Amino acid sequence: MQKVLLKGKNFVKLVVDTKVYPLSTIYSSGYVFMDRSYIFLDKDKKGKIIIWLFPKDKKENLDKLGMDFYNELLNYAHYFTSLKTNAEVIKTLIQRALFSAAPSLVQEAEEKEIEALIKELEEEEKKETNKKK
Amino acid sequence: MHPFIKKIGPRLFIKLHKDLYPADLIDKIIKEEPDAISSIKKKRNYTFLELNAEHRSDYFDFLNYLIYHKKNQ
Repeated sequence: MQKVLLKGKNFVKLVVDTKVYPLSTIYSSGYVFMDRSYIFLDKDKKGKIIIWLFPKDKKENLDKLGMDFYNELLNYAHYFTSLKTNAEVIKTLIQRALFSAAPSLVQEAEEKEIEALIKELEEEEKKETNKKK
Repeated sequence: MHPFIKKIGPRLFIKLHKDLYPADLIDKIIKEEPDAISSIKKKRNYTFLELNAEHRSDYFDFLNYLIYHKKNQ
């Protein structure tokens, strides 16, 4: 089994699979950790990401630093997943907010929807007539 | 020697994987801080940047500067 944390004299090294934590998650977590450490990213031969953390405070506990970083990865992974899941809800809320600000847009949208529905019905009718012939 | 520093002769370069520190990021840095980088070399999957740095700490600061820009891209 691969070790999750590798410690050196003044650094801690983490190995992360991008299938689990995408790059956006790694950059965002790195950004959060900029106050506590210097961050260097590299890639190994298997395509896994190696994250080097060099603490700014020499007294910093390396184990804690590494494990906190893993937690931050999880935090951002959850955030991005939720964002994706809730994208449709957010879209609907924004649409509603826009419609309430400009009611004419609602009417316009409804008219378009009715037009599309009529077209759909007409096409169905045509198909049925052709079948009967 | 730190893992991100490569010594070529008397010169020190920062070694950056192109998948993690892509060319557009380096271009952005050059645009924003034209005096920060004195030379660039590319070899296989890596970009080697020579910095106009006086201290080792400047190299560390530069690493975080890259993360800062990458996150905001």
